[in-house]
Amino acid sequence: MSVPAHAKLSPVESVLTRTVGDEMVLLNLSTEYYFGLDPVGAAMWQAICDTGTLTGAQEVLSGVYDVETARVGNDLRDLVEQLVEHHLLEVADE
Amino acid sequence: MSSVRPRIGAGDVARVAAAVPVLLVLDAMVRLLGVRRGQQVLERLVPLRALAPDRDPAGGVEAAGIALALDRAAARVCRWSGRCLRRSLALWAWLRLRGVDAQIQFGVRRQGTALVGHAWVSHDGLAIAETAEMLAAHVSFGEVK
Repeated sequence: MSVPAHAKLSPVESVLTRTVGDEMVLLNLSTEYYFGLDPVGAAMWQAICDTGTLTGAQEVLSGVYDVETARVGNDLRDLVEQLVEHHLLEVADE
Repeated sequence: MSSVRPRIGAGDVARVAAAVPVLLVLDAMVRLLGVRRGQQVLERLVPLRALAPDRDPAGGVEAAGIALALDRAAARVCRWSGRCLRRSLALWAWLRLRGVDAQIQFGVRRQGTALVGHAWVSHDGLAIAETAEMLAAHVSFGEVK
């Protein structure tokens, strides 16, 4: 699925998060599905939760990581699509 | 490595037999509603009773016996994943009937490249019928109620 850049993103209500070592684990209580994020993925999750959009998260992360903005955007989009697919993140109707 | 299991008596067999349909119903509930909504429905179906002042079922032998029966029943009928969750929901509901307002906790541990989840019941911060090894191995998501 393709997520619009300005679509409102938010964690699914039944998702719990926990840091385990240097990674973050997401648990969806509805599906009993666990999903692990490495430190970069965890930073992406946090940026998405804080800003609520792909573009907002991209801006935050571009200021933190010394990589091309386009690459940050592509990695973010890949992650968001996985999170949506696994019912961990939801895209609000526009 | 071998493990020693306590011998099972006639009363235990009856408990295991009684636990089987309970676990099957809880499995259907979780599949249909998810954990959180399933627990909310169960909360309405199983109201919290008053705790008799001279009883402590959460830390008592009775709770351990129920947990053991649920474990044995789950091992026989639960071929699906999430066995510990069904067992925890059943124990949580049983405790409510005895006046104990317990909580269900979720934890996770890393096993190689896989994440392995676990659920258990706690009351007043203490896990009920769980081994210290199991608790130490998991990082808790905290109480879910």
